[in-house]
Amino acid sequence: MFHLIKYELRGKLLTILGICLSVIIGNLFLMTKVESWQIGVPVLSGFLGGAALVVIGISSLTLMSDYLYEDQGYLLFTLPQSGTSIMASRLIAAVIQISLVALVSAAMFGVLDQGRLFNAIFNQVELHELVYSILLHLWTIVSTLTFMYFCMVVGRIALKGKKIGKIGSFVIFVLLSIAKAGLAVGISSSFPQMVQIHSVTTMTMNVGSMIFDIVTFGILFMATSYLLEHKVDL
Amino acid sequence: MYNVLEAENVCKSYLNKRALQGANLTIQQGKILGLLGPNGSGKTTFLKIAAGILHPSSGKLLIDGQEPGVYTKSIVSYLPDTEYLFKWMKIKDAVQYFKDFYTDFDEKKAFALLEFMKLDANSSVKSLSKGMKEKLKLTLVLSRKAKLYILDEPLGGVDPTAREKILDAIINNFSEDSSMIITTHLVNDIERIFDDVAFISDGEIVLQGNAEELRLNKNKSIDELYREVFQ
Repeated sequence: MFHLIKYELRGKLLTILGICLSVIIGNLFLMTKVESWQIGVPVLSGFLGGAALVVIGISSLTLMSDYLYEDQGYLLFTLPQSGTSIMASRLIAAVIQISLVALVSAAMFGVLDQGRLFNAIFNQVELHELVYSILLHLWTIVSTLTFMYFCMVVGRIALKGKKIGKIGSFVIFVLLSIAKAGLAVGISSSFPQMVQIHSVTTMTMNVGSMIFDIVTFGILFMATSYLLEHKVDL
Repeated sequence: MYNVLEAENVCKSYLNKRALQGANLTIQQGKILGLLGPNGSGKTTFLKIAAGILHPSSGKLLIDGQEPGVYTKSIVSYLPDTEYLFKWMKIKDAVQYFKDFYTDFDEKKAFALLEFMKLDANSSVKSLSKGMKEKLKLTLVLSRKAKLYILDEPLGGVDPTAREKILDAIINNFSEDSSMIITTHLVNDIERIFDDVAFISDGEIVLQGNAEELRLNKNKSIDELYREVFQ
């Protein structure tokens, strides 16, 4: 699996570098406008970081779609690797590349802001809360991508054509998102127990929907791994 | 001598098409089998099922006694008729890729074959011509010590000089412990290396046998027989 991750990241190296450089150059440009644009500068830096995350997020989707629809699929799916390895390597590669871009964006924002926002956060937030925030970030990436990869793979299996497969995957994504959201609402109203997980923002989380999310992730991960190994036809 | 590959009534259907209609085929250890048929006859579909990247609708296909999966992929060396290598790769990266993923990959043999094929390890994959890409793919595939080699159109789009080079590479690197299945339209160029041949038409194996026996019995070359069967 390590090798799969290595080659995914090597393949995306130019994309990752390109995005990081754009963020750095964009922020350096914004630094020259601090005097004239004032409050607009950190806001624009935030937007720049957000845009970078959107681009790298889309790039993470191609970690799966390229192999389902392009000739590289012949390279990946003829390797003696299980569906679980293939699925896990995509998720880990995505987490690494998204985290790298997020780190660069945050660092540049910190430099631009002269560390004011980060100082304020670090002064008020406990270490365990910081660790929790990082874990939440990773969980959000992994669970969201697992859901999207599942929709892509189901679309590819159910609808053979490239165009129709991609449209089908999107329709499946929309329908499943609605169904998942409906179930989550139902579960949280049936089991209203909450836990407080963040002292500063008094952020709380519904226990029922948290368990539902974890179970859903497990099922989708296993199902996608199975489908990749046993059902995807090239 | 055991059968490396055994296919029994293998069918593959798509929405409006039956690509394979009960194909039966066996390949013995140490043999090179030519799977011959016109476009759309089901050759590539059969090979893709054996390579584990397509799943049969019904029937049974076993490689080394197992259904296509992680194990069979570790003993099957498959050359598809697509340009499947990453565009960002140099030739040496492609060699490293195969070395990383296949325990039976022989790096020394790969570099020797690259030299034989006159390919520079520092060349970028995307800068190679179609014939050079074919040679590179073949180098990677033949550098594995696999139980079964599956070559889909290894001479496709390659000039006659390169064809000879490729055929020499196939013959020189084939071991008696292995088996090989090759599809091609260029029957005349390649028939000399076949031990067995199978003719496939509309998803069915219509004729199969020892190449030499067929030549003697029918008093025709395999190429002439091919033309007769598919005229």
